[in-house]
Amino acid sequence: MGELILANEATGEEMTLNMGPQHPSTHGVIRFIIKTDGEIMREAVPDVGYLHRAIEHIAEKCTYEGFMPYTDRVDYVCAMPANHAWALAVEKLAGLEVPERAEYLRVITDELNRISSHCIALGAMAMDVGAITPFTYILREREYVNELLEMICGARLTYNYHRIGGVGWDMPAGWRDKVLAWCDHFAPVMDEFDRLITNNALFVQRLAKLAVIAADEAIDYGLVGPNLRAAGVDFDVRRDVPYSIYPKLKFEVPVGRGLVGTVGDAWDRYWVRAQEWRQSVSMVRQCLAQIDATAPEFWKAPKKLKPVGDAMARVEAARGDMSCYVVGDGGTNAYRARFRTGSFNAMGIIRDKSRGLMVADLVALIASLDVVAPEIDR
Amino acid sequence: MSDEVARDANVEANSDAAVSRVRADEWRATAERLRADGFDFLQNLTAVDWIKEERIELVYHLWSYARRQERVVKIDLPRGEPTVASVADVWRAANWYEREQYDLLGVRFAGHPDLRRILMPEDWPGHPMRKDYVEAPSYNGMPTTRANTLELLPIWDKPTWDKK
Amino acid sequence: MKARLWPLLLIVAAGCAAPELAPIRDARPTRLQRGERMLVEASAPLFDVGPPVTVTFDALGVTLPARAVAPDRVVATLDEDSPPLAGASTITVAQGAHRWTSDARTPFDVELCAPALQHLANGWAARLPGPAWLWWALALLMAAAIVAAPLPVVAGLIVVWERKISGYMGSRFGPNRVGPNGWLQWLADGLKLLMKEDIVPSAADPRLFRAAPYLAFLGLFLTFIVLPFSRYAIVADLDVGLLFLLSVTSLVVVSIIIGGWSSNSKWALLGGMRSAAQIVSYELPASVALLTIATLTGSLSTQRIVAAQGGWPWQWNLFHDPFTFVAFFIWFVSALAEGNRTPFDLPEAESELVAGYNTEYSGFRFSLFPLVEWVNIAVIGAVGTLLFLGGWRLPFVDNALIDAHPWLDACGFVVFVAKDLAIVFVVIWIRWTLPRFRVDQMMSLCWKYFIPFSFVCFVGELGWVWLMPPLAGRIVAGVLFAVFGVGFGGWFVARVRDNARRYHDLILNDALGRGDA
Repeated sequence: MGELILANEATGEEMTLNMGPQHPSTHGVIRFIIKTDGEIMREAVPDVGYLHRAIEHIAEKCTYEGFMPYTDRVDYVCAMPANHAWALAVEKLAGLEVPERAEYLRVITDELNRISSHCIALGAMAMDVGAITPFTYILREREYVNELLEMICGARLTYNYHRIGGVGWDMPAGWRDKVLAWCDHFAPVMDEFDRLITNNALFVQRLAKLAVIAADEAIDYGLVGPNLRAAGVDFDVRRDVPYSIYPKLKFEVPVGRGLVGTVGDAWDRYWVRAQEWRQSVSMVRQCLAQIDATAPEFWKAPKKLKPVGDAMARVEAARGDMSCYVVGDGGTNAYRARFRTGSFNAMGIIRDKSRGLMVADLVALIASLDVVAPEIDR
Repeated sequence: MSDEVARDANVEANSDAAVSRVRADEWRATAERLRADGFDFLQNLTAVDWIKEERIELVYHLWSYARRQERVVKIDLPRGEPTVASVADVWRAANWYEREQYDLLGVRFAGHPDLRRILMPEDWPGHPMRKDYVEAPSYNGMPTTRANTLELLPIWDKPTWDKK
Repeated sequence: MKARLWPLLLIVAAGCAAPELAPIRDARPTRLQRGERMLVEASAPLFDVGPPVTVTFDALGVTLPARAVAPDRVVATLDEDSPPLAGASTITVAQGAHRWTSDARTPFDVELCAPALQHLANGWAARLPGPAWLWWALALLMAAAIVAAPLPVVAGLIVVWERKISGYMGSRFGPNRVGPNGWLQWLADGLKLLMKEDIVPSAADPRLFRAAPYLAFLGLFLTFIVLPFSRYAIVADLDVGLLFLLSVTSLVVVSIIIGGWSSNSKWALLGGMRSAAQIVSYELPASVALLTIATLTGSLSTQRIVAAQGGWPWQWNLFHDPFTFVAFFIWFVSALAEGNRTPFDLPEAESELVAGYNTEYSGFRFSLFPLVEWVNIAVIGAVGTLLFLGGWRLPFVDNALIDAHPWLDACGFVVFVAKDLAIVFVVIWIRWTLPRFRVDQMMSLCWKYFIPFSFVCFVGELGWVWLMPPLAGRIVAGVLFAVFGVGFGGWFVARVRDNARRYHDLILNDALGRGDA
């Protein structure tokens, strides 16, 4: 990094700005070194690692079951799918079975968490572009989801809910009705949000045609999730590499269509997330309707967990295809655990996309890719 | 080229069956061939430090969007000098993956455009995820360990736990 | 194409066929204070310099002594005993046996104004010991204090109001701890800023750095001189009021550049330059929109502009004709841009990335910049009110009634402040609803859209004033008021009611059925 800064031209025309690890954005501690002439950027180089907590190293020191709380911190904004990825990988490695009720509960909590994560993503995007009120509205809604998840597992952010072999607790009494009541409540909120910001002329003007990522570029850089779908690639892990009980659910996968600009621009990345909300609500309803037909067992805890071999599990987290690769050598701890997250790949594209953008657009670009620091650094 | 690589693509999606072992010097050619075959998404790159076997194993997980198919490539590298060709220009996602595995495990990727540490600071000594990694006692003058908090409380009685 | 040339031909013909000029051509100023002098100009050298001259206001029956200073110029003096003057009148100048009169078709609107500060100071100087300049200075200081003292309080109250509005708009309370329901928050914040350490960066230019905030405050403070809060509550009714307003607000631009440059920090400088460029660009459409109103009224004096409107909404300049209607919006948006308010607050909001001009400031010096910004909102409201919304005018009330019942003047003050606060509310509302423009989008909006449109308004207004017969004009004004005033107002109220009904349950009901909402 030293040579990048020192090689700065001394003509006085170009300056190197530091968008430091602390900045008033909800994307976390990420640093950008921006070379600009004051208006247009020559490039913005990301410098990550400020939130590196050695989670993968810790996996080697913890038992498979004991590592579950650490997986929350892989992406604390959307922690349930990370839990799910670890549980799925270890269950594949050890060949464990999961009761059906647990699968339903996993999917319900995954989708609720996806909604709350998109709340942050879309609200922060609106706020980074200047509209502060939609963010406060959406945080109000996210509070409800946090409370629902607190009722089921006791925590609002880092849940530690899934277990190897099932989930930690069953639904409390009355929880289903509360979730359904909240789903009914949330539907007009999504419409209000759309009216307020999605089609707002200023918002569209800021985001349309910004940092267009074409489909082949997105695949090449390894973008996943809503970023990939906004570029026009119709792929969703839940539908195409199905896991858990997703094959029993009916849902659509929104793909970017370039409604107000070009396919794959920042507005499309926003719009795909705004459509995914609705699908998640529908999935939650379906699960709650189907869960009654399952047996009451929700956790088949393994007696002895010392698997050998390796296994890869992919889940669709809110930020895309999160894959967990675990290697076991017969001990109680994992020999190697690796989490590959959507935000890590998204950071890789920022340097190339930032060339020629204005400084204000960089903020919009980062927000549209929905990167969060914990996923990048782990 | 090993036989396993030439295996046909009639492998079901979602199965781990398509695992190939490739020699380090064949990796570049294999990668280009796999990319041409339609494996356009480098999904994951892991380096596993098998210290007892004196090798570092690189595991590449590839995915083909067109065929909805997975392929796993494993490469063994000698632990003393783990070097392999970089595929950062075959899959641009590999750019950051390879930097991370270099940072944490010390695998060198020859031909990488910008191989430098990504998560740790530039002047960090050692590769933290190696099994024989021992953290230096201080970094740039800052100590890397802290006293046990419980030992720092002389005014309280040390907690006594009932031993059952 | 030929059809469009006809109005031009008519104008030229009218000009050619104009009758010869009356002997007395001009008299100014027409609004005088006791002790002032009026200059009367003739269209030809008519007078003898030396012999006494009298100037008579025919319709008012008042004669003043005067003297000729040049063959075509006469100066009349209003001394302390002059009788009151108010009304439209022709002017007759008599010297010896000769009499010359001004054009009967365009009488002069003569008015004797309330005593000015200078008069007050003269009175003190006459009655109290001490040199005259001392009493002058005291009078000036007194007036300045009366105008300046409420400014921090006004700024503070608007700040708290804004925070409460933004809170309620964002499903939360604003400040609600300090004072009754949070309304003394400004006091706490102001005291805190006063008590902060005053840091001047060592690399900064010491004099300029210290001076910049005061320049900004000066620029803002001076605008209060010409704002007519009621018929008599105006510091000085300058004949060039609007021009004065525009020029002193430019002091704010200067202070921004000085603040950015003297901070000796490249990001402060960039932020300051960008902010200044934005303000200067938007001065153009704002000024041309103001010119539209000046054209309509025929005067740059703020009191004149208010006097030309009426108390009822359909008598406001806003609904007078389509060009003033459009000019209002052009002016309003340009004023938002000049005040660095969302959606034009990129120079400030980019302090996430490139710090604004006030980065290096702290403590009291820093507090002046936001103070200027918030009082500027109130000034925007005031200017909008006086130009477009009828100012302090009340329905059914004219000047004579106000003179007879002084409490009506206080009513006018209240009406002015109410309209001002309504515009301030809209400004705050816009800030908390809309996202912000990027710099290039903002500049292109100004140069590619606002400036052409504002010129169209101005020229259109010229044509309207010249050509439109009064009855047709009134009909158009009525239609505009019906459609945009009543129609829009009704739609707005209906929409607010609908939203309240729809979202009231959404927010306040117990969505989770916990029973403890």
